[in-house]
Amino acid sequence: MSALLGGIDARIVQIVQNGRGITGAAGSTTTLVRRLSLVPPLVGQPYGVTANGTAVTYTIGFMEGIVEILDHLAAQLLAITGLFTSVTKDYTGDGSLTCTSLAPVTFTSPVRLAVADTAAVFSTHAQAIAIPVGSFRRSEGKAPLDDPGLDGAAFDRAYDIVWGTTDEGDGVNEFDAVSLVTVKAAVEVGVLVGQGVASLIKVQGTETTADLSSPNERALGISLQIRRAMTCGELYQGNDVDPPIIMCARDGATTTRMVEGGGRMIVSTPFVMTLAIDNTNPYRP
Amino acid sequence: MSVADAARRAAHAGRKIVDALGMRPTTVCIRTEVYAADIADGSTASTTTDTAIVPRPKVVKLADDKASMYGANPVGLVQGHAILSTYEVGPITPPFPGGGSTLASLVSPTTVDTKHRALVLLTGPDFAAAGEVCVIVHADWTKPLRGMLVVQRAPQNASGT
Repeated sequence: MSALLGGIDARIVQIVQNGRGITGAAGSTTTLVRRLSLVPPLVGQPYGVTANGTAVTYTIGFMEGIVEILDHLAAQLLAITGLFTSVTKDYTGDGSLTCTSLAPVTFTSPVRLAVADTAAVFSTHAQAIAIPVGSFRRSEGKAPLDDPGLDGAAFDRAYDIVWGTTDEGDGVNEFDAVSLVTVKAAVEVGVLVGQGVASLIKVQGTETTADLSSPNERALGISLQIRRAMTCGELYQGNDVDPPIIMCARDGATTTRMVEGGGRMIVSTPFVMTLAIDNTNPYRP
Repeated sequence: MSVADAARRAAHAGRKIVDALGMRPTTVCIRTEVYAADIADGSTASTTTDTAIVPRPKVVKLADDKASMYGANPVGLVQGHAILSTYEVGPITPPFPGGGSTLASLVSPTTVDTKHRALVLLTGPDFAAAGEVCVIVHADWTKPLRGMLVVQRAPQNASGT
């Protein structure tokens, strides 16, 4: 696994396989630290706003973070467009956010708004949509699910991460400490079809082998489960992987297809992720 | 005993003689693997049981195909090229009173689930010391006197390869 995507791969495994978000499950005791880069693509020009010249870390709720991001961007725009020569915010350390004054700001370091959520327990919502441990299993040998050589006993509810394209956009600022990379990947899950392979179904919850008679229903239910967990900010964010994922969204419709091997269906859900890469990290394997 | 059963018994006796004469150098075992959890990336079998088919059936190499994406034999065997060897195994005597095998009795499909796997292990002078692990890709038990298997090199990640 490449150094660039190794951490992202590990995060997806935490979400899909290891129960990230469920209290007590592996990967859910990590301190949540969200690092968000808000750098507009301005080539070759160091610029930005930071609080006291350094990245800011403080405790804040997720929605508060969204509001803060928008507020922060607005402040930058005001400064950049010259309406104000200086903009400063006062970040208090008690978790609350106050905006006390407008004061001089130095355009020397890039914008990096770090939002730290140090709670080890995820929100009720995140826990509700988190995928229980053991619901899915990584494809044996990380084999593509459409390879008929994959053992039938290892197919049902096996998942594979199919990496697609990366894109850095047109205006990457190499002087910035952080830049954004877009990565596309599909999470594919194997679903067995037909009663003849009933003994090989990996049943979960209230599922029974009779559910094999409605594979599409089962497949699309699985895709919804994965989509909700994969796009839950609390579950994918965190500085414990590098580069951190700052955004993960569904990238098109979920599709199903039959493949060789006898009674095998693959349900594929594409995602697009934005990564905040550290420009000082070579990300070598 | 029906005529068919008598014929199978005779065929089985004949195959025993051929084996005893050393004309069947390859030992064919049904390898049953049991895993503690669902078979997944990185999992290893907790129990591996090899049951030899007696008498030893004939093993004939049918073809070498291109490997699937999932891989085939260790590259050391063929100097860097991953090939997918296919073998014909048989005849195996169908059941008769006192002997023979059905396909089901060989591979025990009723116990196959997400924690079990049935493979075929070929060992002998024509194979590497650890043998060659294969999967069954074709089985024919429709003939009155012989059951035949076609097996193919197991993917790299199947245990024992």
